[in-house]
Amino acid sequence: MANPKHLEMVLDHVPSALILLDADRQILQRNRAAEELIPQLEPGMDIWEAMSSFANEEKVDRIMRGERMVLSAGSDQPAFEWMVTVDRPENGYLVVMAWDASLNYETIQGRITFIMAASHELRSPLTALLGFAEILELDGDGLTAQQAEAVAVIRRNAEHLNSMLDDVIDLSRNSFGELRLELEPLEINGLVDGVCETLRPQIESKEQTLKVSAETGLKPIEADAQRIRQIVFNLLQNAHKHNPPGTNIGVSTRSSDEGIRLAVNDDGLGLPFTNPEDAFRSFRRGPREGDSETAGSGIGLAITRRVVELHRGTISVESTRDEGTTFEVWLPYDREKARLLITPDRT
Amino acid sequence: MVTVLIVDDSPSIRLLLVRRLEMAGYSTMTSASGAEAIAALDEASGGREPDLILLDAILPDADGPEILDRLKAAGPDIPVLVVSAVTGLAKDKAWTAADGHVAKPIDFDDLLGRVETLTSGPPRP
Repeated sequence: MANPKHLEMVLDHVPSALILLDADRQILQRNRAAEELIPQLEPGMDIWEAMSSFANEEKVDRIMRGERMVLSAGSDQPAFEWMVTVDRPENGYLVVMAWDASLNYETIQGRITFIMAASHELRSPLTALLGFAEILELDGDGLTAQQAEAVAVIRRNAEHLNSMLDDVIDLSRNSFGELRLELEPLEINGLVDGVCETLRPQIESKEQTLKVSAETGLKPIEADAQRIRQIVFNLLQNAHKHNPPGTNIGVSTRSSDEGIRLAVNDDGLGLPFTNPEDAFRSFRRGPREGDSETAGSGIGLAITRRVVELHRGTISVESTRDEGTTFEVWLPYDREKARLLITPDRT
Repeated sequence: MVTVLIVDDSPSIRLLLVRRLEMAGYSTMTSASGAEAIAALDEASGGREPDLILLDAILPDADGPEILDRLKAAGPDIPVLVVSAVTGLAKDKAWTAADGHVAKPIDFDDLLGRVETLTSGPPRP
């Protein structure tokens, strides 16, 4: 019944490196993760020799005796946690396992707890900063024009810092699986109109245009209204903030593939990435001169993608330098049916 | 005059709250810890009892909900607004005794509105 090919397939999909050693501690076989993560451990090599480039003999000995140890397979390599199977088979074979130590549950949980605590600690000084800037503004008549300008800069930056903190907290929560959706039937066009009305004054005061083209009679989708509003808001605000005056911004909705396709496009600068998909990676914000104050933490789009995926939808981006950018979000009418179409989570 | 007791371990936040509340016409008292706040209520019995308490959710000397419960025991009729950087306290059972929650950074229009609703408000000119 057991098919060795199947077992090999399974082993090749284990994210940890698995290395089989014979009784003489020579490498017999390795799985795909071992090949990719620690390529220097090649079949036929003696394990001490193979590991000597990154670990001294004493450390390798300790691992071979069954001690768990965190070691990096090179200065630019991530830290791996190493161990061998303790249960020694009669033929003397051993399995060495190594996995990315940063993926360890306690490590991740510890980091998230730390980020959350630090973010909350930062709110107090921010509250004082914003509060006193506001007091100075309330007292506006007593300030010179230059002083008033300085206060406005303090306040704007404190607000920016605060919204970055919101993003950090949101992302830590959702990477910990705390992001929960509250699903209800949602009329997408009404929501888009609401967001557009909120942002229109800002967009038009920068001499940009905003055009909405909505397909009428769309069926409601099953979605978390607050989260979807956040997505539409983020996409539109990005198109507005990161583009110069004169940019034309458009939002459109239409029915497509048992769901709704929502697109936000602009004819502005284009994304500052060679690969536009990089925009969805946390903390990877494109460098752009003079933009640091208006730019976000780069987390906004990572959260946007996560929220779309929780709705079992998809998001894609197309962007050309100096021609513009289009973000397209597809959300299913029926979340249950869409489950079959879901792609594995990216990390 | 309506008096608000401000309980916060940060001198800057205490000063901020004092300034904003006094600008709005309230009188204020401050405490830097839970113990100080409870002592202030004890002394206040008979004297100048606050009409409302603004309580920082995280104080160095004791667990927040415990301080809240002790304040409520000492002054059952005094409304308490809990000020916190953490969202979701309103849903947390430990804080059910609170009369409301205020998020940091503080939206003062909202805060002053709530202080006014929970007390007889600032003196009218």
